[in-house]
Amino acid sequence: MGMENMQQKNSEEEVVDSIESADFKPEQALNKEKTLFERFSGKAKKIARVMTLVSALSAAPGLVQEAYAEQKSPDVKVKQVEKESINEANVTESGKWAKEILDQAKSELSEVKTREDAIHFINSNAGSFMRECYFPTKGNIRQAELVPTLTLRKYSVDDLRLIAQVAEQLKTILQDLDSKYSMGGTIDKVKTNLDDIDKKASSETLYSSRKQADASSGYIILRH
Amino acid sequence: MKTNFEKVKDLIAQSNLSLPDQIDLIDLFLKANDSELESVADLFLSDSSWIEKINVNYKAKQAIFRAGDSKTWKQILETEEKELGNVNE
Repeated sequence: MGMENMQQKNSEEEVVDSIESADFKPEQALNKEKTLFERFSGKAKKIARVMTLVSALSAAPGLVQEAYAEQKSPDVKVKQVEKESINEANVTESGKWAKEILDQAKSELSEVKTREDAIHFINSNAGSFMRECYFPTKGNIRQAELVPTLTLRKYSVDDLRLIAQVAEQLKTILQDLDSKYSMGGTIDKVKTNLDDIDKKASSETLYSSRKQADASSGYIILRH
Repeated sequence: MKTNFEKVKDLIAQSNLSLPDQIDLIDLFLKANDSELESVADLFLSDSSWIEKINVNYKAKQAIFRAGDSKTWKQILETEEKELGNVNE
């Protein structure tokens, strides 16, 4: 039986049953999986270790965001950014890379002649944009205190406006490529990620007084 | 000498996954420490069919953690348990 078959419901394991009725708690769910896998040995145990790692990595962003939010000022408020007004003077290195990727994408667009070209284009341009959004390497970055492998980036409001705008423009380009080359499900995940980035970058984290905000203020995780 | 992440990344890039899925799975493993990826590299190297299985596993878990869906989590554990029970040494 393949792992795809999610409808199987015939396990009698008590450890599993205890999860169903409870509210879903990621940390508890991870522990249950780990406990369940303890009885395996040899190759199965090695595979179980990979499955457990995948669970931890899948859950980590949400847990990190939740834990990180607790460190922030209680005065934190979220509001929608007005996308139409970007003050270029206030765009920092944390946002400039997005415009560079968009400019590069636009310059390469005329070279897309086939569906294969379109796939390559999406992989190199939208892929670069998504990777840099979710795993920052440029601009004002620092390692998260709670999860050392996670990198956070500090954005200006105009950085976020720019990133949201670039995400929207990349989505428009993708839709155009989809209509020309019938990309089908190939780009669904990319669209979902660009929507996710657009939505997150369109939410501005404001503090009651930015001047009084502590050193960690303004570092934001643009991630699932 | 390649890091474990580089090994995993190369194996995923050579797989039959779609490019967006490859990016997504590679991005997932970017979050891990390199030592944690040793078991992943070993598994993918020994049997590349596990790349697609782990990708399906990841997609399902990703959806569950986003939705907070305990019922589907139970189904995943059942499926994983059966899958592991079928593994031949």
